[in-house]
Amino acid sequence: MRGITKTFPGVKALSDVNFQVDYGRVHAIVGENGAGKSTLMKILSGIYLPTSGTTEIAGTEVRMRKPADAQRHGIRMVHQELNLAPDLSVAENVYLGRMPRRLGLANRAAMISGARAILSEIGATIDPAARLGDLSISQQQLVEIAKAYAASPRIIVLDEPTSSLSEHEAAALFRILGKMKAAGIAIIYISHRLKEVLDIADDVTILRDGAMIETRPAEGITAAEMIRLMVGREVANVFPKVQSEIGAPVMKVTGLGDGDSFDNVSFDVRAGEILGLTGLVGAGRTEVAKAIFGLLPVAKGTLEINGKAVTITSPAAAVEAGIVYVPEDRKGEGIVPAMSVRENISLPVLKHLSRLGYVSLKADKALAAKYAADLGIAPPDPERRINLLSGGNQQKAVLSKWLAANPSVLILDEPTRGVDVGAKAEIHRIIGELVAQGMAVVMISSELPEVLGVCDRVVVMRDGHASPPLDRAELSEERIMALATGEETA
Amino acid sequence: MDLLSQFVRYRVGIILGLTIIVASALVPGFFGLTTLSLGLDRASTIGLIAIGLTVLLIAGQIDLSVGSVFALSGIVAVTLQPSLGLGPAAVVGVLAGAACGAFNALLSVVFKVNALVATLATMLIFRSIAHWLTDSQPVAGTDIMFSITLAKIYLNLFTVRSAMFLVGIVLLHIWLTRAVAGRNLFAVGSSAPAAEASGISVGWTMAAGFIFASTMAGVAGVLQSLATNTGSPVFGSELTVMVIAAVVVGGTRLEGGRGSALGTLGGVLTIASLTTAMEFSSVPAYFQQVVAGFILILLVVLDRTVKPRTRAHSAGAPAP
Repeated sequence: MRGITKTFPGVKALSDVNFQVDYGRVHAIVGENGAGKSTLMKILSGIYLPTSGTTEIAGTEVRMRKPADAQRHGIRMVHQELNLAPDLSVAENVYLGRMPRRLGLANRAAMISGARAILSEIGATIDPAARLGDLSISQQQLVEIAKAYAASPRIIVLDEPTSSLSEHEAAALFRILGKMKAAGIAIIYISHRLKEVLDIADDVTILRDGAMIETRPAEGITAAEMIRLMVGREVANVFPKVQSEIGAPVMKVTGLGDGDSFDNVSFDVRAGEILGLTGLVGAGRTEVAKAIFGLLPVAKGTLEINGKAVTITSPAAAVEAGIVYVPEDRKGEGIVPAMSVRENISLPVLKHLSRLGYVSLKADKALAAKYAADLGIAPPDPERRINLLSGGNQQKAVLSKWLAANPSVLILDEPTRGVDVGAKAEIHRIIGELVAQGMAVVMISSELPEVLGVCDRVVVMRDGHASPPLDRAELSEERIMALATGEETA
Repeated sequence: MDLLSQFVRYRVGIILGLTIIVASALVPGFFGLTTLSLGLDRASTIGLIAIGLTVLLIAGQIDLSVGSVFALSGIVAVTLQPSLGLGPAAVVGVLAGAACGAFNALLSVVFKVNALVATLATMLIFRSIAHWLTDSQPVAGTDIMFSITLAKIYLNLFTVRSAMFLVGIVLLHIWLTRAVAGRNLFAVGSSAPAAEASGISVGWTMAAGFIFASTMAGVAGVLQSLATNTGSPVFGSELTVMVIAAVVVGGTRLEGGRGSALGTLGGVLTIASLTTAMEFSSVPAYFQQVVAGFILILLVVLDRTVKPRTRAHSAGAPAP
């Protein structure tokens, strides 16, 4: 792949990336969240079209406009998010898109026996006739791998294949990767688990911020070096820290678990403090936030607000207790796109603005005008439809919406994802002012410079477990990556 | 809970059995060959359209315009009969149905209008065209010979229509369970992104589903018009609800990905027996639809209660 560039509206996801993989080798791609690994692979497998750049297979240029094209060229991808049909059988999923036929009908017997052979070859004990939706996630992951393998591909892409596998299953996967390699298949392996990468990769490519940093043989590289290359940007002080007086703990979480995606999470956050919650995608950060806010059920653990134990079963109860959560999925959960900025801002506090069930338009307008001015929402027209604003300004409106509820704890989930640099600084300034007023802020972020620049203390999550809060003085990007990937255990 | 899930699994059979018991108690001579064959003939109209909708619903789409297509195709066939002759007129009638389906597909697949909205609009459009073509009057055909053929009962039980319906069910069953395209249909309805990523053309599959559904409505409409030697712009206005009820009673999921031909057969027979029984007991027609509506709601709610969609999700940040 040569000179691959991909831009999404407002974001340059990849810029001028060159990438080469050889038959019969395992080529690992590593990088932080958002470095562009998945985007690059989606271009290779025909899901995205590159904005510019070319792809060659065995010396001939190929154009892949849809997944079927990539498959014709022998490229198969095992997706991170499972791409299977839950209502079909395991065997049908394995042969999805290329079922064997006999007399024009699907040859069910051949599918079942073929799927059974492939599943046993990759060491999975799964009944090929079972309905896929009835299997566990790790079993589905194995089916997905079997599906890619069954197509006898020339190039196979695995995106975080071990994230839902047990150690035993992962070992079986590595054996089969070894077999595929011996058969001359080119394997592209994306993983956050650097130890795995060192174990199985022949070559390693490091991506950072959408650019290719380096490709080199895996031999001789160390985990620490990879982390350095993944992170290694100039730490200019783009995130000026507003120092504020830190007071007593406002919210204390002890032994929180949901029995599934996170367990035994404990931390506290104090008045005037910004606590960072970081870690890799899928480590359970968002789940923790949602559980605290009453969006997901809590199985165990306790939550204290200002020293008093509270039980939160719904977002309404959380707001009542003084906790608000600004979700990551701004479009889906943060804003009501068809409503104006004003209507969005007053949504959670309409009760306080109304008398006898009728909203006082005057109070409503005053509130919106106040926040629009305070937070510098541009354009400063509260009657504008919110989805016509830029991402950064939408985010400011979402912030206003929750500030109007006057919380004592503010949980922000990736507040600056997808907003431009200027708006980012603006949002940081607002957060800084909020803590200066004594609010306690929990900020989930994957962007390490942001975490280190803005937060007072940081909790690093890995596979549903949380480190104790670490002081920012003790931290570096390298150390956070080491904690997040399990190279270091806290 | 276990008993309940057993009930849900075999619900089509259980509901059909119960309905038949009630119907046979209410309708004198319910099992008489004449009653059965006439009942089956009437069920066939719902049934032929239900075959089409089963396919479309499995693909995760819906078509509310089938009742209007039913009327329009019949009118086309009857109107053209004097000039083209019976056979060609019937073919053009069915093709008119297919064209309606192609239009629905254009709206839903190409212009990405939600199928519910798109076919709600075309339901009104096709119905209005039917009124416009006929000046809102029923039109009569000239050749009544074929209607006699259609009404005749063969082997003491089957009419042409009911035989077509039953053969259609058998073919649908084989196609859905055995044909590659049939299995791909389930994949599209179950998870369109997965199907697309596996190299299946989701757009074409859905478009074919729309065209097939309307074509079947066209076939049913043409047969109805030929049997009664009449085309009327008000034919089939209550059909859509009955057909969707029959398909859903038969276990096809409105959200797509699940459904079967035999289930649809059971659903159609249930709705038909229910209607016959209520008619014999002089239950007013509007109340029959109340009953059908409630059965529909009951089944959908049961489906949700017993099999909540436990789709595991990783709510972590989606990697860009």
